[in-house]
Amino acid sequence: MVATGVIIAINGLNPLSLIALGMAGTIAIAHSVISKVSSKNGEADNPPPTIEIPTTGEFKIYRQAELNRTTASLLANGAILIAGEDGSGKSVLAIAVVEKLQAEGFLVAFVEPTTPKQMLLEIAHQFDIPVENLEGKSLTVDKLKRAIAGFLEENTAFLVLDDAHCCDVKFRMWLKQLRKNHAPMLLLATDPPRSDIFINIPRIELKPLPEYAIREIMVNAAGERAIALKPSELSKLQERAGGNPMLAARAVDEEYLGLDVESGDHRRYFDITPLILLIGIGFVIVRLIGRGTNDQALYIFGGIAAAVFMGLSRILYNLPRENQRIQ
Amino acid sequence: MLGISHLLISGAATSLLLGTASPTIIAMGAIAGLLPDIDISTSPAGRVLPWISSFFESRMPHRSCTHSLVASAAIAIAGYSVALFSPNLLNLAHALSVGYFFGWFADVFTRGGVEMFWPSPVRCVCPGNRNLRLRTGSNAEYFVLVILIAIALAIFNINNSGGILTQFNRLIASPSGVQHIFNDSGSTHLIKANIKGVRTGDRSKVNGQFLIIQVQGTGFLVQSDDGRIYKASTDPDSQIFLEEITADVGRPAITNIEALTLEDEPIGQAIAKFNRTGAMVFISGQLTVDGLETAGLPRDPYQFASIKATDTSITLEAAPLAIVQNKLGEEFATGQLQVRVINSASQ
Repeated sequence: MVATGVIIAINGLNPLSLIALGMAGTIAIAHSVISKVSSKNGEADNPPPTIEIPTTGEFKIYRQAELNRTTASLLANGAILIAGEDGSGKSVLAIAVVEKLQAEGFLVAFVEPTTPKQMLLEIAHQFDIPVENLEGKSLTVDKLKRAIAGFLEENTAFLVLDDAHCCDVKFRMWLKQLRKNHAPMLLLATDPPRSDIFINIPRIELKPLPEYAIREIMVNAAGERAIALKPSELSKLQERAGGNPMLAARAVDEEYLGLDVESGDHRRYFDITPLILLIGIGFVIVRLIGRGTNDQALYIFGGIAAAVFMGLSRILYNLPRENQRIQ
Repeated sequence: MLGISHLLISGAATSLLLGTASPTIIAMGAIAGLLPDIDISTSPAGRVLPWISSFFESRMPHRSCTHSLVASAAIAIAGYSVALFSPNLLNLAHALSVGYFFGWFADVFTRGGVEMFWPSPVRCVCPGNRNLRLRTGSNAEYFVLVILIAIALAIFNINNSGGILTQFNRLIASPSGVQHIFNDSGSTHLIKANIKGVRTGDRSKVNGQFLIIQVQGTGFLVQSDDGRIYKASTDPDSQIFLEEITADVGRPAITNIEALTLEDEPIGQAIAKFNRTGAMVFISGQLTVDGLETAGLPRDPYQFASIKATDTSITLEAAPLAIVQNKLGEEFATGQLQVRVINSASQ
């Protein structure tokens, strides 16, 4: 834009130079807006090269803020729920939290839903709580619950439960009892109900990952599968990710397998059928104008068009709904 | 969506909304419909402008920024900025804006949808059921393509014949549509009315073409090929009760209206100067006379009474010059007349 300004200063002001200045300004503003908007959407589309993104296992952690907030909450003897859609990166975040806490020397039990007794045994095992009594008999579910509760009261230890929405209600009620005794815990769930333990503790809702992160995940996924994808192909595949890292990797997998898929499973789709039907209102207005100005043709034309749109709206509203199951 | 589908949708939408059949404007709209896909290098626009497409495709998903209201607004601002300095490019700026908008909006009906409200990442689709949306290159898209070709050809044809409202007026055959045509072209062309109706006198059928002289109430004063004048409307005092009326714009003809003042002088002598070759002249106005002999005046009940007279006054309404000269030429009169002269290029 500065260069354009210099050229104008030399050549003088004329319509063409004004256009050139306008275009240069638009490009400059657009560039800054794009970078700002991207940053707002996803913290930064092009992160500064000096920032190292930490990794956990094979995954990079793009949700550094959520990781820090969760760890801080647990260390303050709190409990937190991380909610997000399937594949949004909850488990990766949970592993990162566990690794971070263990690195700081804390006891952490990380369990996934199975049967209640299996889960209790797993927690007890990870906390090194004896699961047999003095007579060598296995502890019952109730005794295991009491033993774990007692352990958490006496020690600084953390309970991390992935896919908590899959746990049965009784187990979740036990978690609620634990929480009443201030046991620190991290729960991760997909679409949890607004009840019992889920409503009792503060939650972080995971937002979709920014586009730069999704692109990076896809590039890495393509690299792991040893396939070379062009930017145009990645751009098309990225449509199906919708900010979901699991879907991003799946899109690459589908490309790798040569599957012809065009729509994604993410939750960013928004049906604008009602907006399109607003055009019908425009025709009703045309009809009224025709009546007001005594223009018979406009009146009839607007009326017919509005009636057609009303019919169309009935058809569109009665179209079969999409099946939520995979077909 | 296929490139040809974008071309057709944008070209047809441009023609429909701008009401034009101009190949330049339609081509501009159609090409503008390909521009949103510049965010991918394999598209036609991306191949033409690879440096722009590489910028977008390396940063954003397909159908995001360039398929949005923001992009449409940017294109419109750019187009109209140019048109501000070159007003003759205004129609092309309209075509660019309309073509670009419909170029990306068509993708709403595809499986992937578009980020219409970018920078919001929401993907807008219609309908909600993905199985009912179009898949690029599918049989359904080719079926839609065939329908689009038919619609586009119909729109081009309609716009070539005067526009959608004109054609609609022809379809419903109402007087308001004819009035539109008469208002638009009446001063520069002969307007021929195709009338279907009945004579109010004996209810015999009327089906023919008449020349429209002027508007009269809710209808028209029309002249048949044999020179007879009728009032065609749905009013009770009309000679032809209208059932259907459409209009065609005939050959070029300039209509002038001139005022004429008579001060106790012969009518024939005063209006003689309007008796020109190739001109149709109709006289209206009111005159005062002394002791007029009304017995010789035409009194055809099937025709419009263009001359109404009493002993002391004459009222003319769209009376043909020849009849006025013939029947009233010798009379001395005082008053004012309006003379409607229709000069056509050739008879």
